[in-house]
Amino acid sequence: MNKKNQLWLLSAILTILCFTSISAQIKVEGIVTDEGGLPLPGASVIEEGTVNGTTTDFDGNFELTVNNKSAVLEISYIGYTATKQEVGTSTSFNIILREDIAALDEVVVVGYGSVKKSDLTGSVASVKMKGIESIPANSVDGLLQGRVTGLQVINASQEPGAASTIRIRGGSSFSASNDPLVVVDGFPIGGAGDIKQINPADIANVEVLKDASAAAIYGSRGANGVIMITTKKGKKGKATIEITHQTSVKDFTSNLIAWEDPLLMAELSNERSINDGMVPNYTGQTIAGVYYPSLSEISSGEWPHNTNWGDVVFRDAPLSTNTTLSIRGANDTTSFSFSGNYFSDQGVYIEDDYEKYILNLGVSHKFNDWLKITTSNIISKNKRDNNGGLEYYRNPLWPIYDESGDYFRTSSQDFGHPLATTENVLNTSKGLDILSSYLFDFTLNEHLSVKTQLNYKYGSSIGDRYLPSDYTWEGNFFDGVAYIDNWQSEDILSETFITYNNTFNDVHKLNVMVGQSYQNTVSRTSQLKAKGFVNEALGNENLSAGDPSVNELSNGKSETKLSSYYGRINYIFNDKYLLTATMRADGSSKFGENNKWAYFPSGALSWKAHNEEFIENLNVFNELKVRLSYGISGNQGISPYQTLSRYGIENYFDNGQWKTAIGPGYISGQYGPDYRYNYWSGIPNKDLKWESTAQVNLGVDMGFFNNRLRATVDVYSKKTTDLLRQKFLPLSSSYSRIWVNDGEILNEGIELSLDGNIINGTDFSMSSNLMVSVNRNEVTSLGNGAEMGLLVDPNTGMNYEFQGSGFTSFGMATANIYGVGQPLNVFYGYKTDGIIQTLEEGLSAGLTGDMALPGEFKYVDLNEDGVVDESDRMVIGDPNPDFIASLGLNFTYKAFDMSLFFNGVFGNEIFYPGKLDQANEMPFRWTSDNPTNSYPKLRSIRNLLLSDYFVEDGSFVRLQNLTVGYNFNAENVSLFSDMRLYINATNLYTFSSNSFKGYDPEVGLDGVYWGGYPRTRSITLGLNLTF
Amino acid sequence: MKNRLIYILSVIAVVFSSCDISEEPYGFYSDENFYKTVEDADAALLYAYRAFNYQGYNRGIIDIGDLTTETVSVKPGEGNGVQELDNWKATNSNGALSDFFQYCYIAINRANGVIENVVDEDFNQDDKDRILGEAYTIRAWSYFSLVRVFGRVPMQKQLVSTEAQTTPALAENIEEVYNFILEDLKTAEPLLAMGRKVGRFDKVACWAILSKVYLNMASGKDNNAVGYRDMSIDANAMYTEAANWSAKVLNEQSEFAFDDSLSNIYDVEYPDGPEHIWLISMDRTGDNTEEFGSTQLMWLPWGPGASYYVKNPEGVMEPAQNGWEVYQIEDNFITTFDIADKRRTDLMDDKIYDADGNVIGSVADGNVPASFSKKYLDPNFNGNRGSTRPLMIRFTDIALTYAEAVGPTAEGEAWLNKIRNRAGIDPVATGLSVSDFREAVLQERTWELAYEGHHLFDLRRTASVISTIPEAQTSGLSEDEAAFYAIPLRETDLNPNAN
Repeated sequence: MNKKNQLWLLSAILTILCFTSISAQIKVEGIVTDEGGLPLPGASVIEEGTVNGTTTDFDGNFELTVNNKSAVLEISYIGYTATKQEVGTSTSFNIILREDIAALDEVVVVGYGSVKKSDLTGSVASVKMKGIESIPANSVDGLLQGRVTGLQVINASQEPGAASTIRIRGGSSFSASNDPLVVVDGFPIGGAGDIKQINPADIANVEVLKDASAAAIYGSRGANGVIMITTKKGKKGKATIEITHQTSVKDFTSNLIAWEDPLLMAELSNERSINDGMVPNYTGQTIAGVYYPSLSEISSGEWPHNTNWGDVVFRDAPLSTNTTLSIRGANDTTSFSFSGNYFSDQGVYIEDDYEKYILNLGVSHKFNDWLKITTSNIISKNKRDNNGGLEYYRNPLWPIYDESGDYFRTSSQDFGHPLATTENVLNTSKGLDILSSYLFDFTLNEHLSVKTQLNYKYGSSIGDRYLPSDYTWEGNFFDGVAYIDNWQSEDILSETFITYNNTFNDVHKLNVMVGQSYQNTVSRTSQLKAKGFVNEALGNENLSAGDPSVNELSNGKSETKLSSYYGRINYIFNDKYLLTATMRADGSSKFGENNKWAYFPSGALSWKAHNEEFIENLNVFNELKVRLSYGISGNQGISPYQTLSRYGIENYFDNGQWKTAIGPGYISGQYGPDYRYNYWSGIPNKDLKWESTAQVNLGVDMGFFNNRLRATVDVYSKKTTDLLRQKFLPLSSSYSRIWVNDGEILNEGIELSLDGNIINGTDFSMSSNLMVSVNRNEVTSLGNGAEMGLLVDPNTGMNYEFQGSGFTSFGMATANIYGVGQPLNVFYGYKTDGIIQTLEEGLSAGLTGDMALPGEFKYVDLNEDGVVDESDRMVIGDPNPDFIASLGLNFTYKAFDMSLFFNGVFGNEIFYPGKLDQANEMPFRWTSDNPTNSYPKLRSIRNLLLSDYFVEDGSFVRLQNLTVGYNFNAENVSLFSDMRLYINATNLYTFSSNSFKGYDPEVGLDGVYWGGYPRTRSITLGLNLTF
Repeated sequence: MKNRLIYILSVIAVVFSSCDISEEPYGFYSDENFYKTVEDADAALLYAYRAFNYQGYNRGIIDIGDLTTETVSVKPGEGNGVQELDNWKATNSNGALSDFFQYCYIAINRANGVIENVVDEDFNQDDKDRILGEAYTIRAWSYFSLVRVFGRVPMQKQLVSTEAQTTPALAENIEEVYNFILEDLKTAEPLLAMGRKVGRFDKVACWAILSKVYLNMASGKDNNAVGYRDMSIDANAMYTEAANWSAKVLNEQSEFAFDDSLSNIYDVEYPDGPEHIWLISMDRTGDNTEEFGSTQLMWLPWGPGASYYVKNPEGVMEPAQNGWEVYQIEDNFITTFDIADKRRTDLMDDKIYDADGNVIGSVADGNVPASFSKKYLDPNFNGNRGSTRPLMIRFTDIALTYAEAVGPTAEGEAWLNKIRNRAGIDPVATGLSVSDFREAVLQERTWELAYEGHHLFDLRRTASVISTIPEAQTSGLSEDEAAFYAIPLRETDLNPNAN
């Protein structure tokens, strides 16, 4: 509302007031606030059935003179549910407006513009920050878990500052990135997972663009979907100062798996040695300089040591704090927004820390009626002291210190002592990020505007490491190793787009946008490495103190350029029929000479059926909208320089001295045992191009009961072709592989979201939200079998290849495969049928030698050829969930609010490679007295095959968040205009399958349970103050 | 309004102006920025030599040349298809053979790059001759490696810089391969100068290779070996060529000579000893697996799992690293040696020791799995890094080449007896027939050059694989089938012209 309008309104009101004062009327006053007690300036207050009305001032106050006691006030505000208030005998009112859950008129940010939510034709989901701002987090990514259908968020690690894995509608690439593109205030900053530069408290809205109609405007980077982040801006009115603070304390959700009874550990160790045909350790003997107590010495207490290593390596109460101070305000021409954030996170391990500072200043100024300039600048600095992964599972019979007060180590090659590592190993990294943007907003006339923006992103990190010779394996081998790792990246974007907006004859609404952008991304790395330190006191402070003849230097740079043209047409007829068409052309330096430009079209149709008379007459739907879209987006996640010829550099000992040797072909990868074999690359593929994803989406949005129940259903099919893969070349070419576009992945799914505003009383309200996402993923082609070097499953004829690295415990076998006709990352291995109970049973099962003995795994001879060998392997598990679901419940009672958030993953399987060595599994081993079928005989040496024994149900439901808050009435605490106090519990309880005995079932996309950084529960006390 | 429009349009014009999306290489050399100077060409030449250092070639020398024969067997469980090489069950997907095949072509491609780029460069003539001479010799040696292992192979004669060039045609027959090798060597010979540079080819090395190539052709034809029997050559003429070129090595140069000390040949501190016409240069100061030698570990027993001592060829205790005991000498081969033969007594052992010379493990007590060769020892090893090098062409090899080529002449007998004398065994019987004498030379080669990557090829060119190697007999192969390994599957799968 501009000044002119305000004046007009004011005079109108004055006129009405003067006129109506003649009769005996009642003057009422009051304040209109939101649920959080925040005043709502500009809310409209009208006497029902009249034109008599007013709007609230900057502090939310209003005054109005009404006709009589029976008058009813109608209070409304955009984005909030309108409410009515009978005047009665009161003359002063506290009106609280609730946010309209089904705020159809809210504006949604899409690529290069925004549209009314009701006018969306594509599949776009909004995340309300309000629901998640009570959860402390380093970055917003992890918070999105369960908040949007079709969005899978995996927080596999709880290391301080750890990133998340984010997928929109399944993974669709083998070798390129599967991370959605993140766009912050119009600036595409890169892949999702670790948006640590943006303070979650500074974020106003998050939108997720899922289908091609929405994402294809981002062309060769849109195939994985797009996450749009809009930051908070200053609002017109009195400047507000807000302080938010969170303090969290963490603990474990259950006991970590470690030996609590050292006697049992020693007994089982002895049993295992005897089974291996070796001399047991725990017999009161000295082996290689270490005394191993006998069982009786342990049980009698004669052996004094029973160290609880958990007490040594874990903090008692790891604390995290998150504090933000923000000041925001605006007048008619200028708005500003400032915020400062300090985030510190203590890991559960001792001296394992992360901290981060963010400063964010945004200013917008309107010079005249045709030019507005907006700038935003974020500086973020972080520091990580890494001391994770200490051995809490170290042998409890070992003391911490020996008699002379030194660390007790079993030998000079014992590098597992947690305190020795903590006190002697240096591993820190520091990062600096800058995000800066300048936006020029030109208004030509009411229909035509031009936006030009310049964005700059800078990121850098320095890693310091020192591995001392006494306490680390690498340091021991090289007499101390020091590293300095540098990384720096710069990203410059210039973007200009023109928007034309008009309505013809009241029924034809047209919005046209065309634009252009150019983005240049450069990243550089260098590593300085010194070895052979005579004196280690300096750590990595002076690398020239190392042996100069063995120093190692390496550096690299990668530069990519992306030039784009794009456009979109939105056409709405009669507010019933909607059409969107988009097009983008991307030219990338990474593409081959013959394929420099890529084109990505999309189109969508939508029908607002609720605006048809016959639907209206049903009196069922408040909204019924059908959306259909189709489009093509791309993935250019290929490394630069793949389309150029490339030579290698080696050293040759030429006639007694080392010389540099250079020539065609370079080592692009290594494989085989100890990675001793090389992959050779270096000839260019001039045809190399983007991966292409064609997606069709059918969606329905429904609103019932005055929009208090809303449902959205989307069905999609997403086919990705031209996948970037490496093809083998004939051996005589001297090269091993070349990048090509060959391979296909299909993702299909259904997403359902239900919102219910169940109870909406003045004192009590209850709302809930249920989301279910089903995605079916299938590798439909891996390319030509011979060219790609694919393996063939002899029983099914399936072409496949192994994915990921091998496990030492399984003779370097790999668990995951990409198999044609299978979902990504299924597990491949042997099938077991319990444990062998007699030698005859073992032999008749097709096993020989030690593998046929009682107590060993009974592998299944799948092809019934009488021998168990590699041709008896099959797909033994699938790490992809059948569906993921979340349930949110929100309650308010007067000034209290409470929310519960459940998140669940169903029908996925976990591969648990370390299962046989766990303290909670080993006691149930097979012995001749306990001929169990569920755990084999204890052995340390056996030909262990990768089998379904290690595959377990990974389903779980987690009570992810519980928040209880209290909003103090502003009038009671006069210093503040608003105050909120809350307590939040994250990861409160997990219901998981009985078969999985690992510590926590949330694992990465490959489904492998590594044990990793143990997940904690955190309890947070939070305070928000507004002045 | 008009000003506003002009202002805005000019902003748009600036921004919409065309943007560069070309890509320039950074931090790596490529076709565009290399081979500009002599230094570039020299670096590229060294890169070509470097191909022989990779495990794919380096391990193939003994894996193919010796492990396949009756002289040595392999540790159970050793991977990459070497079990199948040992027991003659190797298929066309054998890992060791596929690697060897590819690494020969890596050397060929790198040599092709040097030849193509240097031949028209305006370098100083001496530099140009030297670089081209060595590059042709590298290419010839690589094809010689290929033809002896695989027979007729795809002929890649140009630098591969596009995918279209990756399907070279298979040679018509082995004669085509041999002719190409001879052509390269004869092009190289006049270009090369005398003068040893350890790890590189000089003129003498070129002569030596020529003599070896001719001897292969001569004896292959003479013994009616498959492939050779169809060559349009005369065996005796080939023997004469072999004799002529080897005689040049024996008589027309002074850099290389017969080493009277057997132990000196295998002393890693003397890669520039008189015997070493060509060896692959490796040194313990290298950082990568291919820069230092690990052949010592392939032979040495694991022992106590820590360093121990071995008795070196001179009878002195010297430290040795616990090895991988991959190669294990066959007892039946040891018994073919004369009991006094130094190549048995000094260069093989079945015991390991402590510093004081006490036996701490032996084949007899089960702590050493089998006898091991002491041709590859480095007392100054650093972890798994040693200076042991594949001994590719020794003076003695060429002396035996000469003896075999000329037959039982006085000179031929003299060279053979010189070698037997060094080993401490009696001279060969006089008055042998040509074929008996050649058999005696071949027997001498088996003993003298054992574990230096020659034996299989000697057996193949004399069509005696099946009659000599028990595992080859057991596998049911015919002599013709044993003469060459099949072209690797990946090549025949992906190169339509290789079938």
